[in-house]
Amino acid sequence: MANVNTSPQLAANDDPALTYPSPFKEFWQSFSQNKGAVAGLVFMSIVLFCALFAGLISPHDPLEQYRDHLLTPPSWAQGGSSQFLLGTDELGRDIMARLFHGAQMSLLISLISVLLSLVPGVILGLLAAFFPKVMGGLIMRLMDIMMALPSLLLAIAIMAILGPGLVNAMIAIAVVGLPGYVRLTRASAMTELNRDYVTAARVSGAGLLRLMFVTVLPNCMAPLIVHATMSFSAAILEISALGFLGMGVQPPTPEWGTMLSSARDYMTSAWWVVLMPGLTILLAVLSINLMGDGLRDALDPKMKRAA
Amino acid sequence: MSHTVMQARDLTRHYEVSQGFLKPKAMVKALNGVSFELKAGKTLAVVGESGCGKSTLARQLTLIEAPTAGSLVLEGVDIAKASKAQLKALRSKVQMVFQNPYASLNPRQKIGDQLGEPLLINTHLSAKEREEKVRAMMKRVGLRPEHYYRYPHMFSGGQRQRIAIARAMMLQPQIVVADEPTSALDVSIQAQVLNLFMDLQDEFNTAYVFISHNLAVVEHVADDLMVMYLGRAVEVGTKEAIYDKPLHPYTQALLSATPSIHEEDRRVKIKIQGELPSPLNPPTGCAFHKRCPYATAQCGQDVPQLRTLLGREVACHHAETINA
Repeated sequence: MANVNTSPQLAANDDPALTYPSPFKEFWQSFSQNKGAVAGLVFMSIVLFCALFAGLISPHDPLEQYRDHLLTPPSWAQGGSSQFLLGTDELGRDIMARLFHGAQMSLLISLISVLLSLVPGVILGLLAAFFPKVMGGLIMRLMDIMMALPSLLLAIAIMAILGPGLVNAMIAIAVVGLPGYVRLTRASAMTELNRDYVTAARVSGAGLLRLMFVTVLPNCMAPLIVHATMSFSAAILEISALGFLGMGVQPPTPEWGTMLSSARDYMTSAWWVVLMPGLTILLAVLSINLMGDGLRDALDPKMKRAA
Repeated sequence: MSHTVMQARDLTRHYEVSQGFLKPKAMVKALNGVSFELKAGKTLAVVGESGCGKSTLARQLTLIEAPTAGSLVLEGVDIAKASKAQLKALRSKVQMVFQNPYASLNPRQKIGDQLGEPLLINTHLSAKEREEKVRAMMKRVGLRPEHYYRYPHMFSGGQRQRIAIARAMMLQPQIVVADEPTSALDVSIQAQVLNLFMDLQDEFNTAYVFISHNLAVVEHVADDLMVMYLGRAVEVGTKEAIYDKPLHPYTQALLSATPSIHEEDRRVKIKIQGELPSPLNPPTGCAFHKRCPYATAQCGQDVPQLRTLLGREVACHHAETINA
């Protein structure tokens, strides 16, 4: 747990400005202390690399159907061929190529839908906390109505209004996830608002925007980061559910969730068709959650040690 | 000769509280007509038991809340009639130090940023000039230069209170409202913080409104004293006059409760019965009459006004007879 910049020789230095690292370096030092978070970061970097250079590194075209090689097991299993490292699916498409290309779609969808609900959710939650009488009541009742509907049903209803398509699917998922962020932000902002340091900032003349985003919001970040990382994984699964109902990603476009749901018929006969995308989703979700934990701790000054 | 920096006339603040669905809203009369004058470089101590309106007074004086009635004149400008721009300018003239140093500093902001924030908001100084000023003020309150990059949780209670004082002093305000600034601190640290307060007052000629229920601390710092009971001032005057001979029965009881190590200083303890009445439903007449040993029928009917007696103002119908 030793922090490099906390050695006594440096702290005793005449110019303390020199002994303190830049904010980014400081962040990295606390982040890198968390082994799980670093492991998550490494895995997600690999996934990101595969997604960005899918066209270069994937062994086959993800849409190409090798009719002679339907449901080929992975290369190490009995009956596998070295041509298809992770095997092929029911239409003879290479699973590895589909995973690489699917990473593009899955990461993009989950990232955008999380951002689309995080940013408006935080703003609405802060507004509800700062103006509890009229605006707070309105926003929270609206969120209650949204929470009262089953999430998939609400997503389908939104898709029915907006029409099918990938962008609309992301919007639908974001809208469904919105109430969680609003409630979380409002609850933590309201407890923070009663604290003396907020009054102190008011007394020193801080305006509304400064109070919201500089004074209060950083103190509400911990639950938001955890919730965002968890909804990241939920987004991957929800988009596949929408795809399954014919409203999200359309076949044959490779996407992890769709791969998983289309493989369920072969679960008993061809385990790899289910296992490969399932394991990928599991590892990606795990990595993101670990990274989220590390991020939360690295951003919390209480986790840092005195210099 | 020091000039008046703040003048309050019949400052009143009522809060509406809901008593439940479909029931009429009730009024809490937290502050019920308080008047005082504050001179530059002087300290006005406000004492009274919990719930008497001291903290409500602090919120009015720091312009966090607007008073329900009465006038508050700051630098010759009446707050109630001031424009938004005037209010913004006046806001930086009154700063505040809070009771709990653990809650009054933003846990996610470094000390340097926190002290620089008032300058960032209210001045046009460059980042470098701000840092210089912050470092100078940190040195002034006895913090080491390397503390600039630290977070509040790395400090002890006394250090945090000094940081809070430094933040209040950054803009060199004319008035600092201190809401029980020492009550959360160890006795050993209290003296240190109080001395810092008084040194800074000498240096910047700041006026203090010092809210406390520790009468020993008040005796140490105050020039003037205001004793409050249930949202009203019951006795206002110089510290010497009131400490020498308190005239109001409530002040007498308060002062008699201060422990002393010198036997000759010990007063006969006056016990007051009962609890502070609810400000939702204050007693008629003198608010203190239900607990006062000298109360008569008149006390239950007429509200006593402040009147000058023996060099201070006192609000009691029987001040002369009690102290005869």
